[in-house]
Amino acid sequence: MTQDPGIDCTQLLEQVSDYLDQELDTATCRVIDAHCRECQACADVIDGLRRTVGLCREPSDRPLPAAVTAKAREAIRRLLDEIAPPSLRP
Amino acid sequence: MERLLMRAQEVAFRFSLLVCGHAEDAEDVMQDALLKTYRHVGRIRDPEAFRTWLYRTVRNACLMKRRRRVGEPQHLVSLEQGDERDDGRGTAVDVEDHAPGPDEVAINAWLGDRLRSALKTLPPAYRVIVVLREVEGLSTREVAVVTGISEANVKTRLHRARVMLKERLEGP
Repeated sequence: MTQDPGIDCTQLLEQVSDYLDQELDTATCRVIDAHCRECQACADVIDGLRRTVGLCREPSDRPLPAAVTAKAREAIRRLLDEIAPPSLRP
Repeated sequence: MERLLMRAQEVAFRFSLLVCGHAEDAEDVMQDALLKTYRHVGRIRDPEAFRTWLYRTVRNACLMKRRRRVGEPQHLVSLEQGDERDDGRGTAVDVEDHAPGPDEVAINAWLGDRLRSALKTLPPAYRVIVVLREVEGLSTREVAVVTGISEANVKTRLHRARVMLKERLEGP
């Protein structure tokens, strides 16, 4: 016979980051999922944190502003030209 | 080679802007990352080691740049400061705010005003963890190597920073 040990809100909040990062074992995740089905407050916390993490990840998915990219390309061109000027290239 | 050099500058730009908060410094930090990466490129053996080397290099360039800034207060604030209260939450050390420069409107549009404003309110020691882990996608271990703190400490700070950011983003 197995008994669901359950989890209280404080214990859940202590583990919520590991839960979001998928660093918990399956059994613990199931316990948290079950708790959230019964506890709207904890479900809201997890949803809010998930949205926060998602928002943080947005800039890395977007290309840099065109002006910044152009400056970076120009800096690379200048550096490579200094080391191997076009006149010396084969 | 050019892709690697571009990547180094992209990292430098995002880190400079998000962690240090000085858009006007980003160009110098990018240049520093470009030159150091070019000199380092022959020694790259392991991609993960290069990643942590690059972020450490950019972090140091940001710190050095900040120290050289004209009008900087005599008491310098490191990225690790702001974490000295007993409850570990630290204090937010506000990054400078200034009128948007010519490129900054585009930068704000790219980054999103909400996120940038919320990040500014975090203590620097937390901000650096959030940017490395969430924005740059480094693993907990890599963040620990870059920042020189333990993995357990990275996790603790990340959790607190996420909660603080959530509160800021959901606030009025």
